[in-house]
Amino acid sequence: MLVEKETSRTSTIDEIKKGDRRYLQQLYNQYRKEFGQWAAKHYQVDDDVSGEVYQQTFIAFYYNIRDGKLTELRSSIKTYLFAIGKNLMREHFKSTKRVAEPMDLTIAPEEIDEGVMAKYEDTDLKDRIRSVLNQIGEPCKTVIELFYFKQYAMDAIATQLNYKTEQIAAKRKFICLKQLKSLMQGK
Amino acid sequence: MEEEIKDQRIQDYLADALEGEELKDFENQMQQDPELAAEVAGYQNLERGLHGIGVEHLATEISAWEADYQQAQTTETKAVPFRPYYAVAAAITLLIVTGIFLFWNPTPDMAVLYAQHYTPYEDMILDRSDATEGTQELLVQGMEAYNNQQYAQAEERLQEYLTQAPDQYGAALYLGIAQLETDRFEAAEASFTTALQDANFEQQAQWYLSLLYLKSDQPEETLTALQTIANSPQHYKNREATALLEEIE
Repeated sequence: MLVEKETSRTSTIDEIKKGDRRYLQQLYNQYRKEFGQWAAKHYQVDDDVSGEVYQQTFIAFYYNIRDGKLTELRSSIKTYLFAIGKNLMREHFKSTKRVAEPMDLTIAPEEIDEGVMAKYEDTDLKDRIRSVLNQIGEPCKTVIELFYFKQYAMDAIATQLNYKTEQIAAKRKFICLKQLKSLMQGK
Repeated sequence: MEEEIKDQRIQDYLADALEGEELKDFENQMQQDPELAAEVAGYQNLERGLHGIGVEHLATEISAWEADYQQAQTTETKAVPFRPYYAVAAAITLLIVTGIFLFWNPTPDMAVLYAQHYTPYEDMILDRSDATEGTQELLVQGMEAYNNQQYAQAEERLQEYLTQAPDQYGAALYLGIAQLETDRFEAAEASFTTALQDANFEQQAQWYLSLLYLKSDQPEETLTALQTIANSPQHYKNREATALLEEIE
């Protein structure tokens, strides 16, 4: 079980940035039950709804850190998660009913953005990329997969693929990107 | 701007690694050179799309974590005794469902799946500066043949190299792939098993071993090998193995 301490907040950010899935899953599980109870108490929703909102909350939390919006945890992870969750609950109930919101969960708007994923929603662009992804060979396919889809850090990719330094891995990633770009232009 | 320098600048710019004067200079260059600006915008757009696919991947993983959580909750709270007649009914239902599944779900074409998932692993070990040294010359010749897709020749040279340098397990990976290319399945299996001994090539050897079983039509071994990868979240082919398993099953 993870125990969050004030001193560990920087390392929490580092761990999350590394994209370590086991760590992320531990974090997910650590606050999942409490989130469900909190949502049931304040929004009278069942566990299915709170589970859905919690998943979106967690993705938003992760991308706030990965995209550099959240660089330092000034509150506990739980406060961030529940503050994002509160905003997403508001979205959820926008068209259905008004609810009294918990007042004790306020994070400065410049610190978090629950809509951080909106910029990644271009379905047409994603489809075009998918249509050429199979045409790139190894190791590009793996480099792209590890960096963009599994969110591995460069040093982890270097270790995984046996590159001597992370700079070599980064260079390889750029060559792969260039290859993918030219394949897309050829489409 | 020289192509290589330009690429390095774009790479650094995309990775937010340019700072101060360097960043200002590059932004000025983009302002003055619309072609460069368009090229950078193209990369940014591509990265946005790739990250978008990444969001979808993460959402799928998180959804699986949620399912695990729900499953754990159900196990904790709903330990209902299973009455014998329910068991009989369930067994009958399972038989019917399985029968329907087997009847309607034809065996996937292993050759097609293999072709979709197989690409020879890129040469990561060749260093031509070593070519003058006796044993290394064999490695260089073997890897050059491998890179030119002359797999029979690659096999011969790499085999000879490994006879003289048996602890070079990385070379065994490429030997295995050359043998896989020429359908020498038993020999390839032995080579991949050798490559498994090197932590640097273990995951690659596991992946190509599962492709070998797929190509040589050994369904049980294919499933076992893929499941091992699919059960290792940190494996570099975890996602592809999981997808391949779904396609097979």
